[in-house]
Amino acid sequence: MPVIEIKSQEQFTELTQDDSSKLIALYFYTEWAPPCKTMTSVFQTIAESKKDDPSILFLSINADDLSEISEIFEVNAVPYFILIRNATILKELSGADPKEFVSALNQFSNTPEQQAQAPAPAPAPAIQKKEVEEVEESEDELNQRLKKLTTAAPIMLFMKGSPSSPQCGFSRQLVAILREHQIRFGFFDILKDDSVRQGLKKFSDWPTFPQLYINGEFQGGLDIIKESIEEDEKFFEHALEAGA
Amino acid sequence: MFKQLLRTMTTTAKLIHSETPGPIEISILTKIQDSFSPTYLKIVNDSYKHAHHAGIRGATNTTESHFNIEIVSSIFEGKTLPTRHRLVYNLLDDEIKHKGVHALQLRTKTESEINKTI
Repeated sequence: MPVIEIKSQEQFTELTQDDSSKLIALYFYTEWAPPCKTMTSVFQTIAESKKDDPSILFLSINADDLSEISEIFEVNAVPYFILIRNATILKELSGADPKEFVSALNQFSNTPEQQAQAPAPAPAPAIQKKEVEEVEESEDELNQRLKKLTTAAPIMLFMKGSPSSPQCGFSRQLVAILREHQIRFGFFDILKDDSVRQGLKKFSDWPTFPQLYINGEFQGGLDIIKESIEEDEKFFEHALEAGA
Repeated sequence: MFKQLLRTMTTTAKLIHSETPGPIEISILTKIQDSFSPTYLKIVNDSYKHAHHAGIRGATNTTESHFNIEIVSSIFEGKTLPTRHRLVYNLLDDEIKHKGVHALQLRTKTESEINKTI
């Protein structure tokens, strides 16, 4: 059957306690996260392709509106997928990766592998966690993806590793500076995606990482940010105002 | 510290480099001198500090991979910091892409900027 949009917690409880043999696919999304826009239609297409299979149930949950359900499942990044059977969580997937979701679905469903006619958009990372697959994309598609990435948050840091586990001294220092100035920022681990790593060098016309973007505009690496702050204590605030 | 150092020097061009510069360092110094005619140029080879880091382990070049370069030149006049750094990166494109130079810490100033009193 096609995707059921959950409207209330009661409805959710009813649907999930209904039949213990059913494989239930939960899709958590928000209206504002860019990767969700793509994944919502992907999820619907996959559900459509499985509509003749009564053993799979596709539920779509707006994580902002139904925050209690999000909390129960500890969903803190979107898009997020959870596969459940008989009140047991079989698998959880974070990030927008259609291929991964389809293979997990096939792995746990009773019916033999069906070719899911899901469109294959270039996978986009979730805002907090990312699982990005290597996909053949043209330079145009890559540049479009980079455009989206560099504007994913007002301040975006492209670094080696993550803020909690930086893999390079310069990246670590830049994270420290941002934290010191209590700046909210989004980040992308370029070690996890080589096409972004190489593509961004061209896109920014900059050969090294870390790279800081403010309002979609390239600002520089560690040295430049350090110098900019030396000259202007409120560098970040001013840069944000300028581009907003 | 950079500014204090410069004030104690004379106005003749200054060049500071490693005691025994390797081939890459020499190439970098030559290129910068030829293209930017700096009034001050200092290069420090920091590769030893990174030689055992995860990012560089296993690389062919671990002895001339990281440099700290300070350049004072009029060519930087009127240019934003990213533009100035790009000038240097473009000049040293070959070293970065083909010779294993992994990272450059850059300080790019003009004469008037370093002579500015705080």
